[in-house]
Amino acid sequence: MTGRVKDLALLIIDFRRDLKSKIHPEITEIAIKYISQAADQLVNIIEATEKAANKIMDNLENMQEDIERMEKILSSLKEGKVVVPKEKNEIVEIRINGQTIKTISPLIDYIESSRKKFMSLISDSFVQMSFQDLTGQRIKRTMNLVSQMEEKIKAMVISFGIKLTEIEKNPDISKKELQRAVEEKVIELTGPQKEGQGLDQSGIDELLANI
Amino acid sequence: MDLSMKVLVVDDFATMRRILKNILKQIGFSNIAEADDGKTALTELKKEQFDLILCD
Repeated sequence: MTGRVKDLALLIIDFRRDLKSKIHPEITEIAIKYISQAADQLVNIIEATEKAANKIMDNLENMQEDIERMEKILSSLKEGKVVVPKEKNEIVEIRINGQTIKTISPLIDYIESSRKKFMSLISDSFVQMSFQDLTGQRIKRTMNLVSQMEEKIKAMVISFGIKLTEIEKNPDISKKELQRAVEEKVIELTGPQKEGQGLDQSGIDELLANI
Repeated sequence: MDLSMKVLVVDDFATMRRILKNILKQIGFSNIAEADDGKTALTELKKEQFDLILCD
């Protein structure tokens, strides 16, 4: 039992001795670099999916327009007069006699049935695009969480950093004095500031990097 | 159904507004306005009267 307590005490002493080196490479890097990067990546995901969704919807709308034109052509075909649109608003008019229409009527029916099917698939694809609403909302919530975590970790690292700096300056500092120094410095670094007072983000980053 | 009625689509999400507008157009509606928040919707409502409002 005594041996275990001694081991534990040595572990704590080692950890406290190593605190500075432990904080610097890991937590500060997370606070400064990785969490900010994670938030940026989430913003990129939202932008990329929005761009892709818009492109897909542009394509779907183009297909809808073409299929609507196809419907008009089919209607005119049934009447024996086909009006086919060409480029620059030109049209080609073809007249077909009643017997030919009767002969090709199974083909017309097939095209009509395919047109309806395509229209339905396009409508369904449009509705499916609503997935982006759900994913976007969830990503935004995650972004808020990441931002809150970033603030909390930064505050924690700042507090650690101030304590280490104050102890280095005055190893005999009392607990009460240390606490007061931390509170004052935290307000100076992160609290409400008037223009020209306190430190900006670069000041906070400098402190974090120097811990 | 009177397809000439004025429809207002209110949704903060642009993709959803586009989806709803497309569905309304397929049904046959052609008089469709949109707003991305309540404030804009109220401004639209002050400007003109709508027969149908789809609001998120």
